[in-house]
Amino acid sequence: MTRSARQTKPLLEAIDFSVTLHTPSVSVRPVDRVSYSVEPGEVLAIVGESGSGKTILNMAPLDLLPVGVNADMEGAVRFEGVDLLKMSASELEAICGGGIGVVFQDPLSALNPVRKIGRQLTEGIEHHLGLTAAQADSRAAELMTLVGLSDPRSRMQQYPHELSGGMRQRVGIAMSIAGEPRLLIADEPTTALDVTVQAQIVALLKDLQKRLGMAIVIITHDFGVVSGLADKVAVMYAGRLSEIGGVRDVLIEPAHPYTQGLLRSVPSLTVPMNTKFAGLPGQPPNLARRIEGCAFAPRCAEVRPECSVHRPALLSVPRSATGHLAACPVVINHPA
Amino acid sequence: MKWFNAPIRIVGWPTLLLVLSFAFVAIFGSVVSPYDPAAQNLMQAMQPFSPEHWLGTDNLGRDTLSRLIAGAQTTLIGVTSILLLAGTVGMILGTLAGYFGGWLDEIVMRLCDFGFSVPSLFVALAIVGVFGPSYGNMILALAIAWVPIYARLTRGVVAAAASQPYIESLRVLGASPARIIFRHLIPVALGQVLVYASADAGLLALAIANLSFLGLGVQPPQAEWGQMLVSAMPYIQEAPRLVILPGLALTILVVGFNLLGERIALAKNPRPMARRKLSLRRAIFKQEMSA
Amino acid sequence: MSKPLLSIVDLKTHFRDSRTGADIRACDGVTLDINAGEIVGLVGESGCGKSTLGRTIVGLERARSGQIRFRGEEVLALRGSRGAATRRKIQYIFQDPLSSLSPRQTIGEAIDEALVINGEGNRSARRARIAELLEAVSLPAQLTDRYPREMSGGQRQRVCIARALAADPDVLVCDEPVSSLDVSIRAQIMNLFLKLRDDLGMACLLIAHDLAIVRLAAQRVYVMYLGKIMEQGTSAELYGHPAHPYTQALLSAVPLTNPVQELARRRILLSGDVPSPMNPPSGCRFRSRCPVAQPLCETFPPAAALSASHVAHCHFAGECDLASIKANAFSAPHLVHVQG
Repeated sequence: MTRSARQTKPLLEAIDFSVTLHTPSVSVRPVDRVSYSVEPGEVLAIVGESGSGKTILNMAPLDLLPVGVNADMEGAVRFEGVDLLKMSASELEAICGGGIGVVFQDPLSALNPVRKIGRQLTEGIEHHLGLTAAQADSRAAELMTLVGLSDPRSRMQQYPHELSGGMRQRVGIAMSIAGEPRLLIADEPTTALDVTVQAQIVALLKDLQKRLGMAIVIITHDFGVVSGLADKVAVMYAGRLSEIGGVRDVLIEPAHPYTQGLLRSVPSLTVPMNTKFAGLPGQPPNLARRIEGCAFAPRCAEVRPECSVHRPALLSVPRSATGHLAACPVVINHPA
Repeated sequence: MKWFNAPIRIVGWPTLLLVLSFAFVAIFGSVVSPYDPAAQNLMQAMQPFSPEHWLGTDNLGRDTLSRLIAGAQTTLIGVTSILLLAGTVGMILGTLAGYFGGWLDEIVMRLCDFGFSVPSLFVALAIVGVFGPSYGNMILALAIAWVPIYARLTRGVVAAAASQPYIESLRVLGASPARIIFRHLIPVALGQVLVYASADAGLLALAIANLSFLGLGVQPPQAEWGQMLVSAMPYIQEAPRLVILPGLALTILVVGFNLLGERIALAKNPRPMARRKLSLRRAIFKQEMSA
Repeated sequence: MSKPLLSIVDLKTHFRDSRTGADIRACDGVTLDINAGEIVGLVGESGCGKSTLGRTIVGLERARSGQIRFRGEEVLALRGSRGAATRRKIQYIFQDPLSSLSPRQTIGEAIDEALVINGEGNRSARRARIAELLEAVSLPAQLTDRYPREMSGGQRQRVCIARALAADPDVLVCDEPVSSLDVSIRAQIMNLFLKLRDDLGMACLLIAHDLAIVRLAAQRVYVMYLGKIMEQGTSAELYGHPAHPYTQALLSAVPLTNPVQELARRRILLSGDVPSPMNPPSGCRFRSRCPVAQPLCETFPPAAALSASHVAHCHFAGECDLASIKANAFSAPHLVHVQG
């Protein structure tokens, strides 16, 4: 390998990563041989609907799944060259507060309801950065200013329930960046929030990414959040990657019929009035069964007989930027 | 045997065996009992264990085994009627309070607060003190003392269910309160009440024994374990079995009901899968995915 | 113009805060009309009182004062069976279809119960009607014996709509009917509402926070903030020429999926969250977050009519255009960030 190749080694790299979940009632495969990478300082958005496996894809390697769920993982997920799947629980814990920060969808569930905000923040800081209590205190105040919370000293004396949803999410973000992570994984950080507050949080994440130079993996179902924030987009369907590429390529000229359908499903303020709502017919497949061929075939308008034979590989999309891949041979081989 | 598998899985066979054998003895007691539990035979008084009297006889020559069996019957009838009375009244009050809220809720809950602030046994003592000691009055007293527990439990369940959208949509559809309460809320509350009652039964058996021990409940010659205990007290040196046997019966019964209630309550919580089940599941799923 | 089917006049719904005893003025004097066969949008952030308004209309919350006139009758004054029969003509669709169906009933039983409540005593007539209702919401008849947990979110919401239709309503109040559903499924449900309007003449009050969805579905739109209507107008007026700063801010916060357009446009970021309805700002309710608030805004703003149908409650209705103002031009610069 050449020297330059080694320098551009990705920060996070998943190779043929699969997750199988076993609960007392059901076994499913929510992530099925997914490969992607995140470069340092890059924002990757992983977009998918409920049940597409987008959250499990990111939370399973960090051992952040609900208690009582048994996850079997195959393949590799490398963070800075080290496979997360081979790490012990204590090594993972060290990574989660240090190199990788995590923001949850519901900030309230990530915060302890009976402890003051300040104490929860400083605790993590003391633990991961090895600072004294006084140092941690001023660092916490700094972090709160950084995430746009005014009057941090008095805010630190408040309990989570005294804050609004938007402010809680800011605290959640402050906690996640306490260890100065190189990678921030944000799971639906704006879903529980109002549009006006959502816009504030997206702007905050963008600002932090620029200032701290960290990479972000944002998991969302909302293309609106993606377009202003992400450099790269990966679209997931039924546990598989259906399309991945630069944000402009994927959102402006989507190649995969699922991405196209999903984008059409988001009504914009620019389509003519009195048009009907566009969506996709049918339902996503059952992940407890083996899926023959393309998972999207039953709902696809472009479907051909060969679609249900082999699982389509991610192929380079013709007449598009390099790195724009789509798992649909029909569209790629017969461009319209 | 499928109908039998579910209860065994939930509560486990030792608990089930314990509770079922108590119920069997109590229900078919008069058939299996070797002697009339009240029949005195002073010639046979204070007999030790023997082939004629398996568990011996007491100071009046009554067969201990027969009296224990009759005591089980007394306890079962007592516990069942108290639970039925307290459960029914408690559920009615709790449902009304939980569904309609407002001043009705206030009154019922203040009554409950009063009931909770005084230990149930004291309430029962006071009632028996007023009406005089008898089996019937004891049942009534304990039932009144136990009503607040079921009223509060039901009220909580009903109030939570009533704010669920599926109850609200029935209201919007124009369903009468009676329909909502009897068809939708009571079935939800009944499940919770039954779970609670199964754990409560042991406590009630103890309370019956307590009152009888104090001479406020079952009156001689009717057989009851607490009453057996107290009448055997003068002979504790001479024949400790007369005290130990009813005490043991009571202990086993209370432990049995507590286990039953605990197991039923815990059955709702997810348990981690057993290792063997997990590996089996892995194998089956692997086959499913590669088929 | 003919008389509206349903008119809400100065409706107030207050709650008592159990801790402080203060009044939470969730819905604080709302006037709103719905005509027959019309979908009316009601938009605003969470906590603005739009759900409370919807719930008050169907009687799930008790109104403090005001009127709900339906077909010329005063619904709040009606009592007994006559009141129930009138109220039944206004049905409600909840946000989460799973919790609005009983887990103990199959969907056939749920719809059957709605028909029984509506006074249909004949069993075979009910069975035929269930099939008709399922057909009307495009669900296959063999789903009758399924339990809600065995269905997908979209199917469950169709069942809820079928059950509401069992009461033979004239108006559906739909509270965020698609926000719990997947993006690709939402169109199926929204198009169903359009079909019900076009085929049955069903009027709808569509309560939603998603402005783009309301724009395609509704003929007229009301914008609500902190218990009061800020602006109302036809969809074309409201989306084309928003006159109230709050409407402008809401519209500018709707994200665009096209990254080039998204990065190029100007966005008005409102700072902070909706204030507590226990202690709303005096005068104009939006004044504490409004980027162009003036001292005059401490007085109650008049209703400024920009056309027969377009009304904005703002002292400067139609005069300000937030999107074209530079950040430093604001009188209250600490309240706003504009990104260019």
